[in-house]
Amino acid sequence: MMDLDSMRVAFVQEMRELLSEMEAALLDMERNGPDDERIHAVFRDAHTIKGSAGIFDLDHVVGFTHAMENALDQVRNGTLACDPDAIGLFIACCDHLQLLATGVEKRTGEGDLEPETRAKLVERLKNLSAGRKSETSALAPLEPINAKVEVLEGVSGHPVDSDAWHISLRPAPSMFSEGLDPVALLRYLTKLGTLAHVETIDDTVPMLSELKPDISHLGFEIALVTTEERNRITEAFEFLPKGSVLRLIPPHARIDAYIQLLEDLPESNARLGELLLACKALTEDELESALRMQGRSGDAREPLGQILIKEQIVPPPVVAAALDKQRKRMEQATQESRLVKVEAGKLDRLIDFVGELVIAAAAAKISARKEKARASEEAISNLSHLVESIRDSALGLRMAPVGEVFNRFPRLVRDLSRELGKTVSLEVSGAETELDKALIDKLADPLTHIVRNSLDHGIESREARIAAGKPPGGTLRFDAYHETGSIVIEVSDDGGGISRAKVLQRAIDRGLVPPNQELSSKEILDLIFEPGFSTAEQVTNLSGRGVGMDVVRKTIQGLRGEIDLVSEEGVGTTLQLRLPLTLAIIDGFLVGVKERSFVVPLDMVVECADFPTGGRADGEGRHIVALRGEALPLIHLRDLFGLDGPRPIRESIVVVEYGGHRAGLVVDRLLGEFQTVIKPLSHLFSGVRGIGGSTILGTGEVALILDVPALVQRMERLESSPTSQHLLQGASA
Amino acid sequence: MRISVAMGKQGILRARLGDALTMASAVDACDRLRQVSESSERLELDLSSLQDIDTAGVQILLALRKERQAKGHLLRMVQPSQPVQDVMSILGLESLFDEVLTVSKEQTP
Repeated sequence: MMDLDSMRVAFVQEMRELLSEMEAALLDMERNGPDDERIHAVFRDAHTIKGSAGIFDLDHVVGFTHAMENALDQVRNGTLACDPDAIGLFIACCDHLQLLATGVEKRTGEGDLEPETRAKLVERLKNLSAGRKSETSALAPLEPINAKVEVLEGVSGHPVDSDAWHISLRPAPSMFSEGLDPVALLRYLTKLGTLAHVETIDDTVPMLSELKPDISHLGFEIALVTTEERNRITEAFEFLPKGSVLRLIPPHARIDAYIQLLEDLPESNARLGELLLACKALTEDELESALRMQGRSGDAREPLGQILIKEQIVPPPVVAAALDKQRKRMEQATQESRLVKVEAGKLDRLIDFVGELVIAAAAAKISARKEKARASEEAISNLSHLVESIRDSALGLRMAPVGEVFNRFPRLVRDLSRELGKTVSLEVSGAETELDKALIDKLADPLTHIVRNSLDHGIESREARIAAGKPPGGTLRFDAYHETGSIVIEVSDDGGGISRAKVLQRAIDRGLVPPNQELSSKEILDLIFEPGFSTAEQVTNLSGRGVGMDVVRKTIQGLRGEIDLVSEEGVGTTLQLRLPLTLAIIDGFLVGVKERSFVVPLDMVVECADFPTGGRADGEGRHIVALRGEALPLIHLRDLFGLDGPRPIRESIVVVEYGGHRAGLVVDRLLGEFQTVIKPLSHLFSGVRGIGGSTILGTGEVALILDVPALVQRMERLESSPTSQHLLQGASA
Repeated sequence: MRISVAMGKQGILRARLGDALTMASAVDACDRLRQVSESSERLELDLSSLQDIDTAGVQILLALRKERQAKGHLLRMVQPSQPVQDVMSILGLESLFDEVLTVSKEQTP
């Protein structure tokens, strides 16, 4: 069983997820107007948080969510208008719950933070309710979910034929006096789908002379054919009174689930068998096999919950609550298309091992080739394919949609534009583009900064926009897509663009460039990335936080990425981030210079060509070569890394491309494709540009992985000063 | 709930249930049906005037059936009104109207 601490962690995590769902729904309604579905969703989220908080005796959370729930319920049944005021208040409540979640996590003062804020919010919630129609002011407190709800999925056995949900309902004996009428419930179910069959079970109904008419003795077995989601179905039973038991079996569940049902229900197996056959939940064969399997396992299959209660380990309400929680988990699992949460560290370890596996497989391949052992070579070739698949799936595990980081921006844009008195709408596309989860987490800060900049400096005030003949509301666009082994994220606005004159003037004022230096338009824009640069004429509290674009660039470069800026005055600005898909493994192209080996990331290799120097020294001086009529700048790796010695008769050029620029790497030998794990360089070498990492070859030799983007970038800069011989200082291998 | 009784053919007591058989009047309805049930071994319930029935009401009819069954007394439920038919059909109890409940075969008409 989970201990309380880890359950607490799970609770905080769940709470945060629910809150972000809630916030997304609220923001959406704020933009697009009220929506029943979303109000229900927000209500459910608040309700779930309340329920879970109850388990941990977090009274302040329970009380607060209860107040929210009351107001939301009024919105839900239409007695309270779903206007911007109400939504704004609910968003503020979400914020407060976020704070409480942090409090629970850190256990500060029992997680009870800012009680005054909370009291104010509760007051506002109450005023909200009281301010409207008065007949709802005496709102009855909402019933928490009291019924026991179990979804039986089964874990073993073959799936059954039935394509209907089997619903086994045993309402509390008090249901009539609690105002529950199963007929109404069943009528509601017909809205969700087709009631294929209903069996009303009257086995325990006494004779009329002994009947107390306000006590229910009825049970129901229901077959419902529906395409609705599980939570839509359980929702129908949300207000079952305490003491009710509801068991659901999804379509095509494993037979196991029915065995459990047979065990759990009070009726005899024979009677239940009859009922299940009547409902067409099971075929006769399936029933027979279920009964056989049940007989075999005997009493050992007593449900865990009952064992716990019997042994007095856990009091019944806790178990009921835990089951309730479990049910919600399951519902959530359906929603998130069955996600499994795995600790990031475990994944990293897996990736590490897969990395070693890739190296080991490469070593085996090389040695088999050397020994010319045909059979082994073939076997290893098969093995390599498998290893490749494992590598791909292992890396896939780390992939997450970039939308995870985009999700936080609707809220940021809303808050910032309010603060600045601007109207800004946010458009997002490509949110499903995947990249390494580790990268996603690190992108949040730089992107936030970029958004702040855009809203603060980029998009103009309403008046200025109208004066410029633009629509009064600005637009911020997020876009993500894949491009040759990288992911590109673009943030663009339709604001005023960047004034090059102002940038240059500012740079001169700050002494970043001498006054008379000739700079290209691009070079001027790039000044923005220099440390300590701010073009805002009026430094606001939004972007004047001491974090400049230089920090953004450093962060992106630290992720082996690049940042690029395009801006047209009066039209807008686009920031383009280009990042590798993953940090862990690359497909490389192995090349040799003298006895050294280097790895070029394969996705940047365009082609290979001969470079016939005939061993003559004049090859050394050539920094440019014509390739199919185009000038190709060359980088001699031998010079770059200071590897002296005679040049071979034939050298080769590996043509690489990055960010639209090509360069040729001059090497001695081409050694072919090679899949490898990147071992990051230690901090000692962090200043060395041109090398992205190292790897260990199958032979045990160390090979350096070339940082092509850095090389290409250097090349570009060198075009203006071609006299530099060594691109890198102190970077000898 | 109103119950009007009349003696039919073959000594069958015909009881016509009126208005509503619901939770609100359940205790009262229970008492009256007990009296009716005790007064004849052959009973026919006419449900044509019963305009409203809920699950609590259905349970009363089921309890009545239980009792008649246990005692071997005849029970027929006939001419259900539309609302009654609807409720019975949603509960999967339509067959109540087809059955003639008794253990003594010779009494079956």
